[in-house]
Amino acid sequence: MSLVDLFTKLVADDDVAIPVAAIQVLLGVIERSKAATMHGLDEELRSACTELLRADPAMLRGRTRISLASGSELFLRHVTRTFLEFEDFERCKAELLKRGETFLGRSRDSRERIAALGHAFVRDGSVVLVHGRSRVVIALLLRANETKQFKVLVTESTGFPSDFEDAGIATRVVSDSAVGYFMERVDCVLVGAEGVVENGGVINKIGTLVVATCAHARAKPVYVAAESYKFARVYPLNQRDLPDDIDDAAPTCDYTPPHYIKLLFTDLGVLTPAAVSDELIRLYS
Amino acid sequence: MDVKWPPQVEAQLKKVVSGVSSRSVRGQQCALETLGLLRSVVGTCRWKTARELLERIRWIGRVLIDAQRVELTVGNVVRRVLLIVREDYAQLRRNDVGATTTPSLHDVLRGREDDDALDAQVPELRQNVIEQISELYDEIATSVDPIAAMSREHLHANDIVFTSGNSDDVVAFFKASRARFETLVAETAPSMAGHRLAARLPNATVVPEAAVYALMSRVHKIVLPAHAVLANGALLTPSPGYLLALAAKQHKVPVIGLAPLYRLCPQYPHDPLDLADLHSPQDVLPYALLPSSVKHDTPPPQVLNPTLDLVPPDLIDLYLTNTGAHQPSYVYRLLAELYSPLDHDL
Repeated sequence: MSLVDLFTKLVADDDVAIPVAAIQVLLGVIERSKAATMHGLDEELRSACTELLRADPAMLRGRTRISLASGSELFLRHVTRTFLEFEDFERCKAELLKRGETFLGRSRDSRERIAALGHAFVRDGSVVLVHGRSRVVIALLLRANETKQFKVLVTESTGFPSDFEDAGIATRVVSDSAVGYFMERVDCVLVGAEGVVENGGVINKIGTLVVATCAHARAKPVYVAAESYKFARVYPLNQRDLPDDIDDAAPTCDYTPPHYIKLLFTDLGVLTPAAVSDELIRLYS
Repeated sequence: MDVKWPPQVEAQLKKVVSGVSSRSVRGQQCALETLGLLRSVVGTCRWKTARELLERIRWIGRVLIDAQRVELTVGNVVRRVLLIVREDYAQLRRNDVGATTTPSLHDVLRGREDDDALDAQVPELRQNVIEQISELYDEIATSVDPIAAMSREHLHANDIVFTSGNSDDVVAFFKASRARFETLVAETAPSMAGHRLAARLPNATVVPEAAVYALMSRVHKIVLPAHAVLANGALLTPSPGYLLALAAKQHKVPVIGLAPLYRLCPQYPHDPLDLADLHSPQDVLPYALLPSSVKHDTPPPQVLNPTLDLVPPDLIDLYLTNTGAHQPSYVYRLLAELYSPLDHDL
């Protein structure tokens, strides 16, 4: 099975995030590798990453390449750092595989961890506007629902909010163009992210920028819930700086600059947008 | 947890609890008394492992916090001591303190070594922790000095500086400056703390809250004392601090918060009214002044008397702490160094 086929198979499961699938594929590369030196293994991993990034975007099923790039880059960096930690190649390889397994095992927990950190920001009796179908956001709101009563407004393009209805959360679907109309009664905006960029801004489903701009104008806090493996080393200054797999005629994602975002809920803790670059600098310096 | 404390600790605990619940000890005094109590707990109680010690300190922390929710310094000091225990234990065990600090992006893949359950007996732990607590005690007791030393950089000749409340830190900060500047003090009704502050300062003018906006165009700087600084960089300060900060924003006047490190809290302001420290409405609207028809009307009038304001981080330009000047966006970093994420909930 080629790497791309394996990757496609992994992301077919809706519960597996793209960076996690990428890391799983790369772990497979390490396992099968016949390279005898660290340099050789590094080369193999890099070419595997390139192969994944060059593959047909259809395999991502509408999601961007940003998180694929962030996941594989994070992993490559981790491999480099592990090389520095161990002298012996075989031991280093074994350690990489062991740590990789632990990471895969825990990657599902990170959603729960974010929910535990972020649910207190949803206040009793508040109205939360949700845009984009993010699993973390759903987990967070379900967690908040255990102790509080609140209302959720879901934008129409997000799709039918069956998770919220099943949990008994008062939910209302509003048309995307009515976000401005409803914003005055919203208490906070909660979105997920495809990728979190270096300055603390986020790349997310198209329309996030409209919602965030609107919330900013009304001084309503915008919270982003995202796993830390979505932190990407890109620094877009405007929408045209986004990766080229976004179709300019019908964009599926947009970039929301950091000053529209109040806080990010991540598995590393609750971060201000400024803290994101701090985390990335600490890893890559 | 059913705890049997040595009589000496028991007595000290009672004293601190009555002090904080009656609000007769506050702020720095409160931090120091809590620390003194924790030093006796570490020194005189029976405990064998770090886990037992942490559990005891946490228990004390919960009792003190229940006694007075408004006094956030108590929780901060307890968390600082918990981190001291964790770090000392890790250091004595294997020279690695990584597991106690805030997780980084590197740990996401690397994984963290599990603590060896904190169950090993380390005889040196008691001595090390007591030494570190003494250091922390000195740090808190002298925390105003480095802040006051910075006043030379921030207060200049002929400046007009606006402040509110009645804080020792502000007095020390103003007195350390050699420049001749003018001070405006908001009278801080209804407690009139501003009057008491003005009496302690040379060259001070008391102004009523209603005049804050009118005077702001002439002001060069706002200096606000911190009751607490919260995790998002927001400042909890005696009212009318928020009023001052909002007026300052209109006139582009810089706002400086004086925040010794023991006032930095890892909590977020989820519910601002929880933090407002509501006092008796008697000072705002004396009950005797109400006509009897109103007294028996249902529902009776609601009178609020909050004494603390929550100033959002975007209205603060700079915090002066005892380790230097920091922007509100940097507060999260300081918190990561001061507390272990495992101790955020006591």
